[in-house]
Amino acid sequence: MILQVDSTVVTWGWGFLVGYVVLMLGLGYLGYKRTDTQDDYATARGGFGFLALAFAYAATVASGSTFMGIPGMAYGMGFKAGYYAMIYPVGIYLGMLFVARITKKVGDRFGSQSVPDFLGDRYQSPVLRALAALVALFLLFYIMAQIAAAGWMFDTILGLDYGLGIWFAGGLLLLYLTAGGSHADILTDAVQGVIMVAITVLIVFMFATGWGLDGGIGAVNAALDSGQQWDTHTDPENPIFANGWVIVLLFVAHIGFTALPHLGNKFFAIKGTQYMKKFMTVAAVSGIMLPLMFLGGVLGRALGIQIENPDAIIPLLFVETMPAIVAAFLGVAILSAIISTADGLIIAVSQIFANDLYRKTYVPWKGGDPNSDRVGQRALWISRISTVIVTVAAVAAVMTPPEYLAILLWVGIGGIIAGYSGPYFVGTFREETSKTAAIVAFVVAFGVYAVIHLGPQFGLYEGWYPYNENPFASSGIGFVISCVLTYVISKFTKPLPAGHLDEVFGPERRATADGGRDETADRPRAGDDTSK
Amino acid sequence: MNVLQVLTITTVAYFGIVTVWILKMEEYLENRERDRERVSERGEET
Repeated sequence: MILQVDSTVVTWGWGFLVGYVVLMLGLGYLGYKRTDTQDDYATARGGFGFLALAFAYAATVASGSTFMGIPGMAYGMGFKAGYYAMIYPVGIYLGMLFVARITKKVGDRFGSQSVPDFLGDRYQSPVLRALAALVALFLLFYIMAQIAAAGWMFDTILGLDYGLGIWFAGGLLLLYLTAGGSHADILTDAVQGVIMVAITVLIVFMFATGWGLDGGIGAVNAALDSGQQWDTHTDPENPIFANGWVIVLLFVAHIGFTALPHLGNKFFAIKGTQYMKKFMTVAAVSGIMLPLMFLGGVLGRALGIQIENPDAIIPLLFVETMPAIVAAFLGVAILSAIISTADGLIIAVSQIFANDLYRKTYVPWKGGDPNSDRVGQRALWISRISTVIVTVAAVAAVMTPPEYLAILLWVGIGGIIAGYSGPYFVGTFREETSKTAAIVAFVVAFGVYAVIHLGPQFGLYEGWYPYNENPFASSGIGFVISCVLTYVISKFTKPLPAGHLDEVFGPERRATADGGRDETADRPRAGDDTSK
Repeated sequence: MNVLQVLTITTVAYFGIVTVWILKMEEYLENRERDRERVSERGEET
């Protein structure tokens, strides 16, 4: 479906697209120059300050749905869509506060290169690492959804055929990711995050002033149908907004969303935990701004813009109310949202093969040293090759999107929320959390999530859980079960050895200028004031 | 209350939690880590 856009918008759109591609490739080259080892490729460990990383994190969290799906939801449902748009980032960024520091610290100390790897190292458990890696493989469907969104964007805004658009997006990702790995991922995401924030600020301004209407926000509300106005909070017909309870579960589920590997692996890249507070501050502020894009969907509905596909409401709002150059720039912002999530996912999935399954599982199983240079070089090659395979497979798969793509997507996302949450979150705060508890909680919570959500969604049987259609309400239950089981079972099972827990929970080594650790500076010194 | 008012309160509460976490909890966690290491060191000495 192509919007009826002015040829000036299309011309500017192609101009911006060329500039965007050149910028991404340039940043990819910079990433390549900074990538010498497998650890560089997988984590960009210690390579970034708080500002770039915070914008990269916010950009990675906000996928294509921030600029399309969420405003489209608001266009169809009105203000109540804000309960999804503004509650999910609250969950994710509170989750970030809980786990960012320990992920960075343990990751540096044990050389963890992914969230599954972190769990394996935290619990000294190759089984947990392998289980977590296998569930994370389903993130391939998340990548497919992003690639499909990119193809749709090209088709809608620039008139480029969907089939060409997906290969264009895949080719761009391949070029900079295979070269620069995580360095390229974070560099490009940081820039894209800034672009996305700029567009969001513009949307908020338009909404706040009642752009195109007389009377500001009140006029926007008055122009909506009664069921879409701001005094309507729920919609019993819609499983996502059925009542307050499912909205609470939406929040709970998104705390667990923080455990997704493409988000968790960003924490390794900060220069040191001394920058963590600044990182958290900037990420928490910029991250909660981006979903304000839903206000654009509300404004579009209030302006009476008629559109066949609600997901295109923001592009059409810009085309109808903005100068051509601004409307054209939006295409780059949407592409940024899509690409910045897809690249993080591709790196995360490539590390399942290179690190989690090869370096940390296969090599020790065969009696090898996972930290040897030879293994590292081989893992780097596997990283690059799997990046190519994953990207090409994702693009090829969405040439004709699979029938169950939306459900398969939630095998990965919901499975990770349910499986990882107890071991990740409870294990962050409770040193006594045992390996047995972590594994049992992982398996049982994933199983419960599969039974209450995935089975009915695949049509295997009738769902008995009242909100089984709602993936957030289902994975939120998985989150709670995972955390409760991890806590309770740890009370009755053997904790990890004290020496290992000292390593996990001991203070952070002070970072050196190159982002590494000063092993001599890790002990408190006489005169250190630790009483604050 | 309307949806925007609920979301505004939610967002203010969110920033409140973020502020308390960054100003207080991070300090607490750092101090807990150092205390743990001191206890561990004393154990090794004895």
